[in-house]
Amino acid sequence: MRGAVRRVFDGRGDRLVAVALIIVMTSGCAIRLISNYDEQIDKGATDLQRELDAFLTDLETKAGTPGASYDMAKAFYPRYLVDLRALQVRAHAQPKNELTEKQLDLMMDSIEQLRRQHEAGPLAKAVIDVNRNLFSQAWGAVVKLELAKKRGER
Amino acid sequence: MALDPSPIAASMLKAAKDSLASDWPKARAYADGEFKRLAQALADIGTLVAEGTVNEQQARALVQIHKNTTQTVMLTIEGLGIIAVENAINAALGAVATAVNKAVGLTVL
Repeated sequence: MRGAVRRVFDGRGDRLVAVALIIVMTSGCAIRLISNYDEQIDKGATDLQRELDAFLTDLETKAGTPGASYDMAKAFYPRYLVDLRALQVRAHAQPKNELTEKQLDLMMDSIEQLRRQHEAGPLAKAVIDVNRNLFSQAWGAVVKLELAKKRGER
Repeated sequence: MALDPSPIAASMLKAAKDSLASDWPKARAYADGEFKRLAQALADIGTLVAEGTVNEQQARALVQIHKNTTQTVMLTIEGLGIIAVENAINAALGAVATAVNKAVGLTVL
C-alpha cells in the first residue's frame, strides 16, 4: 500500500496537488445542480391540473346558462389559489428549486388571468377549450420537470 | 506509476459526451412537441379575437396566459438542460475515479 502510494506521488509537487484535488473533488456525493424529486409536488401538480380541468369542463357543459356565470363560480378561484400557495410553500422549502418556484408563480398569475376573463363576460366553449389546453400544457411542464429530477430513473 | 493526465481527460470527455448524447435528444423532442402546441394555441387565440368570440379584456388575459405557459415550458427545458449538465459532470467525475483507481492499482476513490 505504502509503495503504491509513493509511486503515485513520484514527480513534481503540482502533480501531487492535482491528485489531492481529484481525490477531494470526487470523493463523497455526486454534484447536485437542481433540487431532488419531490413526490408531493408531483402529486400536487397533477391534482391541481385535474381540479382545474374539472372546473373548466363544468363551465363548458353549462356554457350559455346562468350556471356558467362568474358570480355562480367565483368561489372556485380563491379556493384554488389556497391549494396552489401550499404547493409554492413546498417548492420553496426545497433547495435549488428556483425553476419550479418560478413555474408556480406563473401559474398563480395565469389563474388570476382566467378569473379576469370570467369576470369580463361569459366564456364561450371555444374560449374554455383554449384555456384548458394552455393550463394542461403548463401543468404538464411542471410535472415533466419534477419527474426529470428523479436521478437514476430517467 | 505516476498519474498521466491525458487518458484521464480523455475518459472524462468521453463520459460527458456520452451522457449528453443520451440526454439532449430527450430534451429536444420535448421542446419540439411543446413549441408546436404553443404555436397552435396562439393561432387559436388569434381566431377567437378575429371572430369576436372574446372581448378585449378577455383577449389580453388569454394572451397573458399563453405567455405564462410559454415561460413555464421554457423553464422545464432549462431544467432538463441543467440535469443533462449535472449528469455529464457526474459521469466525468465517475470516469476520473475509475482512471485513478486503475492507475494506482487499488481503490483510492
